Amino acid sequence: MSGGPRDEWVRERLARLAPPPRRRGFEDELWERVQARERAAARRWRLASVALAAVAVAATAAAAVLATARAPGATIDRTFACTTQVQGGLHTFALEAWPRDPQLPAAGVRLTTRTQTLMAFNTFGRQPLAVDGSGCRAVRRTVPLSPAGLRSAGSFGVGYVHFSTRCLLGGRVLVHLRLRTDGRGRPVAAQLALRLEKRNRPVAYVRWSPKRVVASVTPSCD
Amino acid sequence: MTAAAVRLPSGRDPLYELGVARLAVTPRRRFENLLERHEPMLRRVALGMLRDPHRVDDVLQETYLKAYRKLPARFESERQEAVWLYRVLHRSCLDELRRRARRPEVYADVEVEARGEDPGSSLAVAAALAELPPDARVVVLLVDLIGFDYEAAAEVLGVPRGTVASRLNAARRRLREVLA
Repeated sequence: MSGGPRDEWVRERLARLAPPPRRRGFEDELWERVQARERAAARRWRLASVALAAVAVAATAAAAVLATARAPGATIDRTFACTTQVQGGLHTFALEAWPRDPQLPAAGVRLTTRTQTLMAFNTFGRQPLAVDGSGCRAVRRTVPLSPAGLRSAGSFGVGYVHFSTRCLLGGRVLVHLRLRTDGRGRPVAAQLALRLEKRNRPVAYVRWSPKRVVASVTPSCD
Repeated sequence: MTAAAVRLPSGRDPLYELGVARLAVTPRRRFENLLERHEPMLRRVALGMLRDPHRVDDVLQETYLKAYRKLPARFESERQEAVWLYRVLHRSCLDELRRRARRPEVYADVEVEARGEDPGSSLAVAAALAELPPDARVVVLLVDLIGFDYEAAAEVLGVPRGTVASRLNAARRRLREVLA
């Protein structure tokens, strides 16, 4: 050791410190508290992202009114590199895609990392696509829009279920999005392929429309 | 249990990284593995800092919550891991001591329990440590109990190496007076 040597007399006395054993239920209590904190954080960020989306929708709607009442349908075909956040020491992100719900009119797709919505679109309002510029930037990379190398995660029709997956993977994720909108700027169909940038490994593929979502993911995601 | 020292290799430690990486299946598993290796010593340091065995579990819960939330993706070595973990513990102990300073009656019972104890008993050692100011107490625990070198202790506490050395000298002298 580069510092001075231990004082053996003191060390021997300190070694007599007998700490109390863990109290009963210590571990369960700890993990319950961890989960409660994570749930609270997720709730805060969900609320924040809903508010953000509402502001974006309002702004786009206002701009649309000023520009033109009716524009032809368009296709957005871009690849983004999105940075995922770390939770508990590992990068994490979640992808959700939901078709129309009997109670909620807004079908859509959302890509989130721990405290941030990286990318989202839905049929509510006229916002075709919202991308958080602090987490994602457009890149000139091609990611095949195909489920090759992934296992099927199911097909979801109009109903109460939707596709949702959480991946403890990341660093940067490439997201190739092809989104078709109608004349009013509402998404009508989309394909989304995610791939780990560093390892060039496919992670997820989603084919979305307001009536049906078909998804495939890598087995590493839950 | 004897006070086995934490091995503190300098710089990167490939064997350590390999061992931890194999176990790092999920953040929770990784964290549990971290606790398995450090908890006995963390408990002792917490007891030495707080003196009150009834508060050790609460302070460790706070420590673990903070540590889990901020757990880095990886550590370069076991030394870096230990320094980081003891820094979190130290701050939680200081928070608890500050809280306690506002409510001094909380641990009066422990002082009574320590009276008349054999000077070598755990309670007497905890009471002797309580004679020291918290910044001297933590130095002697880190260096003489855990086995940190001066640099590692200085990193935990965020003070210069010379400060660690002078606090340690004073703490050892005072402990000898009280426990002799």
